[in-house]
Amino acid sequence: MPNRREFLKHSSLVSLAPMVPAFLSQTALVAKAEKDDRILVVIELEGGNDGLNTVIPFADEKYAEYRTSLRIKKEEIIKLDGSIGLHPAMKGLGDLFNEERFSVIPGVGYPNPSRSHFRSQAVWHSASLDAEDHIGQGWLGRSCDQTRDSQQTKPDAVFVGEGTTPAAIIGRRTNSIAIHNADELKLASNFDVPKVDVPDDLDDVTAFVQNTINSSYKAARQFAESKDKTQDGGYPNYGLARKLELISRLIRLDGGTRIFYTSLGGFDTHASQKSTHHNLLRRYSRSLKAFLDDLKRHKLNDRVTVLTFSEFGRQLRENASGGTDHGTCGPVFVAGGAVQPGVLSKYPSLTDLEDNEMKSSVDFRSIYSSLLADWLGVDAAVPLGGKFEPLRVVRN
Amino acid sequence: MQTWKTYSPTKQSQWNARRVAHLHRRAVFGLTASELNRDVNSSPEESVSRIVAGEGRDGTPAEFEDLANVIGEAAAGQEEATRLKAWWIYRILFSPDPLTERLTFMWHNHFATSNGKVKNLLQIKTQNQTLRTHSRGEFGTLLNSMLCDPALLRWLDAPTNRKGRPNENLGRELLELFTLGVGNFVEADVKNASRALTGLRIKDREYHFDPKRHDGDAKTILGETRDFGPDQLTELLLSKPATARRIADKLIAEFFAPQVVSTEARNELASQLMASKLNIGQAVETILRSDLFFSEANINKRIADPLSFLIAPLRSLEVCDSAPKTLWLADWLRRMGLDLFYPPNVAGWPGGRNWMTTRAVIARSNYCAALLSGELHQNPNPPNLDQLGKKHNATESKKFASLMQTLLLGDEIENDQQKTNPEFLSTLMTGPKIHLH
Repeated sequence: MPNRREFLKHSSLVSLAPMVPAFLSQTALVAKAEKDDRILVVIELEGGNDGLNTVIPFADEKYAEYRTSLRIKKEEIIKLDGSIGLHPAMKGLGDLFNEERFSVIPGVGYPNPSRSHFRSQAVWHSASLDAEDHIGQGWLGRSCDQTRDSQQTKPDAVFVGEGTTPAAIIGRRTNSIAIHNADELKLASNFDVPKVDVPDDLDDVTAFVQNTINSSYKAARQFAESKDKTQDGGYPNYGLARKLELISRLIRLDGGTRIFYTSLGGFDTHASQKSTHHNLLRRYSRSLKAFLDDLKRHKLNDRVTVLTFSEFGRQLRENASGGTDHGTCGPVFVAGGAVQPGVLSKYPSLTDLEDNEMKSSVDFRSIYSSLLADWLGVDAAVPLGGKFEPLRVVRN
Repeated sequence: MQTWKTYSPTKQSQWNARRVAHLHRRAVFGLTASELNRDVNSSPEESVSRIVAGEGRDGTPAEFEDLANVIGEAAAGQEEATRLKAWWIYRILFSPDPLTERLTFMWHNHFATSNGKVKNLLQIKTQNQTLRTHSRGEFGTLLNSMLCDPALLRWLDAPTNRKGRPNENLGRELLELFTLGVGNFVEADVKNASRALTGLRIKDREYHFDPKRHDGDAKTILGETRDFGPDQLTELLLSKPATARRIADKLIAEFFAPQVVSTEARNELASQLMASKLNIGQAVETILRSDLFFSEANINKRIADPLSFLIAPLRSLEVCDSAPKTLWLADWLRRMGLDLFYPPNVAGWPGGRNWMTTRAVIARSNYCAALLSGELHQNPNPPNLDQLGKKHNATESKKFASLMQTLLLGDEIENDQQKTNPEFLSTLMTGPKIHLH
């Protein structure tokens, strides 16, 4: 027996489906049953985040040796355990760590790391070390290719940002869309929703269009109402926070999209890093905290997991301009109500080095593997081009 | 040739304003009141001939090509693609030959190359020019020129495909998307076609064939064993009826509403294509002159693609004497789901009902509102409806309403409306029919 969802998807009687003004979808064809699906949000920290000053191995005396002008004072560090802690700008995330809603995975990288932004980004996006696989497609796009239904009109993935859609969410047939900002989802003027009863005969193209207009206007109204007006919904006034707030509203309106992607740029801190990096981490921390609290308020805590990564870390030893140059591995973060709590990997040694830099303790593809299989419930081997022992990042 | 017989007006299917509007709205991004008036008083034959010849379009500047070239050259030197998108929109809006622009867009969607990966605007522009040059010639010429096109080669990783180290990206899409279509080949054909395509490189930003990287051994493709190279491969693919059928489908999707063309008619168009060495221009002319094209089932039953939706009202409301800001138009187009030079994937934009996402409907409505309030111009320039009415002898509101319905909706329904002209237009542009053409 096909279940209701299968039935609605494949029945020629799609008109039986309730008219759901689900956002972004070609609404008339959306089946509602996807409400409980789990969602993955990716935040990319662009430019190469200084992992050593983000998750700080304060107990290791080598840290103070590598970092002089950029050293974070031990007493200011937000301790996660007896040996490592978060940058003081990440107070909100420190609180979430204690609430088991934010977990830290130090030392994530891959063999023979590239220190080129472009190359390393392509590696993380494609989940392949081989340049020949860097064809503008990525792990999440490929995972959607596997599960997509040719009838489906909802976007597989939504990128919120101003650049071009990242390769990670592009597949061979994946329908990924980019939204610059919330204004694109607002009706500029108060159009009257025409008060015509439209027959549900979706074979008739005029009826189809009228239906679509009606449900789109309705959705626009819902979107406008979804703006939490009390204290801006708790979001600080940062670009990243606005992007995450938009993602939260889209999730709440439930268009069936399971993958959202956004980014925070500016991490390429070759000079005068101290205050820049502090501000970036503060923005990241406050924005993500607001997002997770917002989701929790709307009881979506257990349905959303957030992955944060950067294309590489920076060199152990700071440079002569008060900055840091391109390095190798770095920390990855997972956040949300369902994450495996704690520090999920071993901090790499500051003495046992390779090319003078830390050796990664976790291959990033083991995290992807867990997110695909354990979280999104899809096969991980195909999108990753092979099997990787998952590092479990979500609870059962 | 029964199914593609030429349209000649009868009592049941008269040559009237409705059919003139249909021709222009479907094929060439809309029409002005003068064009409407001219063609109603002329024959379908002459009207189609004008479109095919690229003649008689209102508002085309005399020095169009020069202006377009200046804009295009400046655009290709930019970091961002927005000016290049604006350049193409300028061409679509002002070219004397909008049919060629329509077909150029059809081919952009066929060889759907994204600058997101190519990251080279000069190459993207070159590809666009090549598509334009060959848009109405023999398909083989277009196909072969795409296999030497640096943007396409980069897009499908051709330079990494070499003897002993195959990359199947180009081989697969050549068979599946550009020619035969799915179901007309097997995996071994993809492998061997990819071998035939080894050695295509880009050197100093230009196409270059490298015999050292080419696999010259014999390979079997679609049952034929030869030492296939790129030219022999395309020759084989072009000789297959499946390719002609695929091109016929492409043209049918571009010029017809769904389910208007029967399988029989489609196969006949494919046979005609085969007989004409896949001559696109000829097939397009057959389509535009046909009874089928002007049949009731084909009128106002196709979801207007974003380009048509964007351009047609600008022309009909005659707001282009001072050009609207094409950079903004490009952004409106993106919001409607059509980001030029950034197709969503190798298969291009799926089109049809897929255009009507919530976000796109909101963008379309907001676009109409912006147009009516004049916000598409640097200095707000709302359509001057009184002047428009005077110019076309439609000052009386009933007459004006009827003219606007014909131009914007392709409809001739008698109208006894009581609203003011701006109110009436606003109603027209928020109803369902504006989305159909």
